[in-house]
Amino acid sequence: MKQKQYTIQELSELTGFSRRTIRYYIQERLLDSPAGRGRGGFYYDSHVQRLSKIRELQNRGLKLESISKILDEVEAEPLDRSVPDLDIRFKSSDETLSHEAILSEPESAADTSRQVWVQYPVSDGVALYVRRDIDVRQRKKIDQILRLAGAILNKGEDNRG
Amino acid sequence: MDNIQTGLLIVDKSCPIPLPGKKAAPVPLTGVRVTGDILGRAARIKVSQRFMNREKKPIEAVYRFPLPESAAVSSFSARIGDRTITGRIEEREKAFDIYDEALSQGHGAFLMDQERPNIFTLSVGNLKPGTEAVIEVEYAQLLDLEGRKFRFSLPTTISPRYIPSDMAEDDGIPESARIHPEYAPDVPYGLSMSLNIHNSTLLESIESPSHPISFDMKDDPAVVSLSSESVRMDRDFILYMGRDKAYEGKAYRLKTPEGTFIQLDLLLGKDAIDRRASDSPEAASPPKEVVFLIDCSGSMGGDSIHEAKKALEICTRALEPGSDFNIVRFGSTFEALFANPMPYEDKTLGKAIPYLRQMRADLGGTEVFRPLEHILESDRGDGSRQRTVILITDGQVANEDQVMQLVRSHSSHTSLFTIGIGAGCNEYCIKALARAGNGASEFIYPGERIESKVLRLFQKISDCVLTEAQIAWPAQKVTEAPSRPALFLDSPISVFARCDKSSRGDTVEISAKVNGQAQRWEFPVIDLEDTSLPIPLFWARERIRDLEERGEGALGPGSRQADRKAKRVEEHVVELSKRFGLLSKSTSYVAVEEREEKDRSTGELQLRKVPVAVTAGWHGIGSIRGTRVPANYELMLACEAPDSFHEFDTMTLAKLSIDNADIRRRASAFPFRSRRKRDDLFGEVHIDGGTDFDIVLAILATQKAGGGMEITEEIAEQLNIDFDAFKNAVTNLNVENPSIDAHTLLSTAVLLHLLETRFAALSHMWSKVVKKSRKWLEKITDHHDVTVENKRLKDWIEDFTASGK
Repeated sequence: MKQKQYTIQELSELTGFSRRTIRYYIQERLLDSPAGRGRGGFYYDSHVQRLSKIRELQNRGLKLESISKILDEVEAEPLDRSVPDLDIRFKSSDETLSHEAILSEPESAADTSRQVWVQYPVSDGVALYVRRDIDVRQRKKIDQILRLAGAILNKGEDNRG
Repeated sequence: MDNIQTGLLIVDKSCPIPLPGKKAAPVPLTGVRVTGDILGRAARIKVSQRFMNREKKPIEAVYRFPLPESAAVSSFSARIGDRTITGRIEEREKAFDIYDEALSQGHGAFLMDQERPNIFTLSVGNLKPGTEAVIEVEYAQLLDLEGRKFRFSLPTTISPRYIPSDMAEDDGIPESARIHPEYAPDVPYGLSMSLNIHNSTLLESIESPSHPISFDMKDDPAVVSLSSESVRMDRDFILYMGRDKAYEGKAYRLKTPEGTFIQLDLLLGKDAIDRRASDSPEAASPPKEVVFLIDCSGSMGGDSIHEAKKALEICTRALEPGSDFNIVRFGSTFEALFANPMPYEDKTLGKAIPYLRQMRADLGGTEVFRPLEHILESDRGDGSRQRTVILITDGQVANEDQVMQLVRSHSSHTSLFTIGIGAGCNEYCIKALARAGNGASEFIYPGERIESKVLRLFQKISDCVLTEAQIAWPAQKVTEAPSRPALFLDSPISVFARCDKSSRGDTVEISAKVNGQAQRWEFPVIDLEDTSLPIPLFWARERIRDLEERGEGALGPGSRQADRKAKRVEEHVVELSKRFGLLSKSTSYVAVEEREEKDRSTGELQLRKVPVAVTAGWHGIGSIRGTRVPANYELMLACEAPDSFHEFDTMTLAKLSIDNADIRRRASAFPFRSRRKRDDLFGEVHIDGGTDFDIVLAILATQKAGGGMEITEEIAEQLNIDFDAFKNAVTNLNVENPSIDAHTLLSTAVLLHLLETRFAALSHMWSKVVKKSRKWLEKITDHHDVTVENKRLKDWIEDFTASGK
């Protein structure tokens, strides 16, 4: 089935964001560029959903900077849902390789204690999660895994290690 | 940066200036040219910005730039080749939609948004490779008047502003993205300027404390231009035009299809005031509380904090006994000299002076809201006390509206005066806060002599109290703008009125109470035939400002009633804006360059944000002290000598030569600065230079809180007084009350006499400040007989000062 397409005007009317704001989000890479050629391209339901998510987070009082980080994090979420829910506070660090996420179990869980996980992006769409309190000796091995994984996935490009 | 081999590099991510060495995108702006006409106080200015796409792909250039906060932007057009496209006013978001739609379809389009009354964003869309576009923005402005001088100012860059963390994001776009341009250590475009000054025969002087200028006075209009063809855009351009006669209040009336408009340039002269009013008890002892609020944020570093401290010391010494005072300094946090305002006396002044001299710009961000709130919401003695806050700042904040609301909500008992400091301060913030607080503002450019400006402001604070002022216009159905402006004696201001066509009558009357006594002023109305004075535009600009600054939030944010009111106000602003072709925060200018099918380009546009230079002196980066070289040497031959030889004031020396390098060499070799220590209550006081201006300042600096003054050896020498003979006379002074300090008594009497006789020409500087000294002296001489060397005090002084050394 063909995907539904929207003009920017329709997208604006559907989501309540002004055209100015939508253009700004595209410029800041919070929103994908329209499909097709240049500025007059089309938008899909994924754009609508993305904007709705931004609106929802704004209504919760979050600033765009935090929203941007949360959305990045959601996108980096691995497919394995055994990793705790990511809809939570996220903290970036200055390390070149890793991001640090404070992950928690859903509220219903009995154990409310927080675990700190470090996210190591390996390549586009692939990341490795390591609990921060892991043994120091293990860290070197993880470094090796990262280098190797990077080399394989990036096909010999700069191996990011 | 590339040459640095070792050391610790700390990257402060909050600092918006990129580090050098980063590969920058091509800058499409190639130059800015400012031309215009100045006639009296009215200026009509055109700013032309030239864009060129030197890339291989079509671009969208976005340039964020400043204009004066009082500018009435009334025209916007774009020239592409031989086509000129004139912009039209539309509601802000509608204008964006038109712009965006045009670009989507491959046309060219141009958009100008107002982010603040002094910050604008220009978007030049779909500029094809190899093409050029010249954007022309025109505005009209009424110049400020400082004493006898008109002040023309043009900002050229936008300083980074402090954005409080709790500031809301309008329509989901962070405030920073609306007001901050991209910054670069250097930019490849510059400013050129040429201004026609009409009726130049009425001018006495032309000078610029900010830039070297050149001009030709032979013709009328005189043409003023920058000495260099293109200058760096990193500081405000300031031009003073001194008039040969004092300002006179007048009203001008212009009949148009939109109605009749009146511009009232009013000046409430002191001469008209009943003597009883100025001497009434209220004037004698106004119960006052004065709080100085000093910006010590990082952006004040360098030139600005230095100027602020000087201004503050002058203000502090000029306070009246009987007042309470305090000094609060702020940045991200704030701290006060005293926990609560303290009575102004020698002891407290003795604590204040060292405190303020030690101040540094070390308190982080410009969080002005919280200290102001703390001051405004604290108790005011028994509740009847009037409070005055004097804010000294560069105004680099983004939450002007929030601070303005706070100040306005307390304006019934607290007035706010502001002093703007620096080469690129936020003029809007400085003026808008003073407007909200029924006060006044002054601006101090680095290197300018600040004393007379600060004292002029202080005069307004301590002057007679003007209440219940009303303007009687010669018409029915009048809409006045600004409505209810703060009026001060001897301080010119313009008020505008739009009225129905029935306006006749040939005077405008103002009535007010001065210290409780009713007073009246009359101004003649002159009917204008031509539109050289764009009064309707000025009225509309003031009216829109009134609506924007006073119309919203009055009922508290969030309430439905407030929202409805804000909507009504916005609709009114849009209507005025469209009718008068005037830009506002709710409207934008948009122009579309329609292209034929074959010329349209619908591909991806490369976004090019035009970087701007950081303000000179900002955060202590660079400094512009010492660059004051006015180019009015020709004129100097015919006009009065300037006030002083100052370290950075080469005005007089400019007479000798037009070679700036030579002037600086001479200035640095000139031995006019003396710094000698002397014992006094507050440590080192020195006399800068030997002119009358400097001597008067040195005299004023000896004032104690109560008003008594001291003659020191240094001052005696400057005044050509025989110090030994003076000391001898002190020992031979006879006064019934032994508790009175004879040295202080005699010093005060002699210095007051000398100020009145020898320094009468500078009375605007000292008359207000020494009022308390005179009162102090009269209190003694009225109750006690004072004799010196067996002569009556008055006779002895006359003999002593007449004999000289």
